[in-house]
Amino acid sequence: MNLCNHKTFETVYKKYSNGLYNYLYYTFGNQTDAEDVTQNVFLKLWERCKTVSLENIKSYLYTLGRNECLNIKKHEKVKIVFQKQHTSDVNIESPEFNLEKKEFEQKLEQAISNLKEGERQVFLMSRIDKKKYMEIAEELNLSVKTIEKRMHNALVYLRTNIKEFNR
Amino acid sequence: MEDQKYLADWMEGKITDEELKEMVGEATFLSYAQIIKTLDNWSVPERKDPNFEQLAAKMALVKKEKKTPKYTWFAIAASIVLIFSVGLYQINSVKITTEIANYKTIDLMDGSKIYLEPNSTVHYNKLTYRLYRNIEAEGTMVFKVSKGAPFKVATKNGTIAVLGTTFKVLDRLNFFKVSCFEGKVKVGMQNNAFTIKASEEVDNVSKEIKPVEYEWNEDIQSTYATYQHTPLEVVVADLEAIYAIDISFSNMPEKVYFSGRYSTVNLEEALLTVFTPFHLKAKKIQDNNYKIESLEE
Repeated sequence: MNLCNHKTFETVYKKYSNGLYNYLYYTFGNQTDAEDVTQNVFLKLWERCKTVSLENIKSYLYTLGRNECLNIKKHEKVKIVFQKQHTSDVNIESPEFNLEKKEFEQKLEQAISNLKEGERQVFLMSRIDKKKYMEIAEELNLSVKTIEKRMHNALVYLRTNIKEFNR
Repeated sequence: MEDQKYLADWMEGKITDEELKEMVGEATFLSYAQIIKTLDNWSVPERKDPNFEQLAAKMALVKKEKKTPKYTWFAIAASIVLIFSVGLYQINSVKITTEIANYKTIDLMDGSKIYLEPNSTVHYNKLTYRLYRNIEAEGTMVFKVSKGAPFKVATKNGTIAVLGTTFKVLDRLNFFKVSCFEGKVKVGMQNNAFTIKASEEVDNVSKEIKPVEYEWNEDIQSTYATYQHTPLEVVVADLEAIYAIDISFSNMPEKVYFSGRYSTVNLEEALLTVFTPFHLKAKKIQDNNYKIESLEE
């Protein structure tokens, strides 16, 4: 298995590029930046294909991603937006309910955007990407303890902030 | 307050809904649950261009970095030094060969001389000669060695280590003889070592030190080839080399030795000198081609 092999590289790209893209989206809250950095990271990886071992390729990708972020202009206020998949049973609810739900979603998105960067990354990697704490810890070179702490604090923050909006 | 992580445990399923309800109360639990449930139906906006093909096009323009392990530069430097040294050594390597009927006198940089007889070779290195005077030799030659660093001659049949002296080496076929004219030399052959003084010689057949009963000087060197108790075939090999002739035998006498000297400038005289004592004569078959027959025939 040689990373400089085109086929191997394509496999690596297909396996990890979405995860990396999401992580970068959670960081910037900006699709264009996330897309550019993802591409730059993989070009850099290709450039260094002879020196990188396949074993720790995952955490290497995220490290490259973090380094690339530093090169990108200090991003404006993070504004994360999600694609919402409304289940069919929601549609039969009353319009009032739907309006209330929409309002709640907006508040939640706002609160997520206001989270500390580190907490936001970890929280969304877990809740949106459905990654295990262990997996996130490996990718970001952090301890599982740190991941758990960030998860806890993120959820506390989100609840208190949405509550404040309610008032 | 200690860092708490019960919410992390709950999200991972380590704590049940009921347990969390008891910890935080029903209302708080419900808002936590609402957040999590909402997020479950959310996803990241789709990438505009996630295909590998667009990346591959750009990859073609990227120049791959070369692998440069830690010691690369050191290795490169060492290689250059090595190549340079080997080159320097090779450049200074000197090989002098005499053809048939060709004599050479070699003046070495320390004043030593080598009188090279026909069909002989010496090989040495000018660079290391100053440190240790090592010479590889084959054939017949006389060394006149100046005092200085140890002087060594190596042939395939033996080695000679000397200080300041004059000696003759005869290394032809499998025969090896060293004759000392001046000073002292140490001769090694197979497992034997001999130290011979002026006017002594030793060969690898008898393996005994014997007196040299002839004189050697540069005048004699230029006009006579001198031997003492040397196998006839070895003398004949020298003779062929000196005069550029081929000598064949109708009946080669076995284990006969030649002592004496023959002219290196007059072939007729030399042939008579060498073969008459053995009751043999040389018959000219064609130019440079002689056949040795019995005198009686």
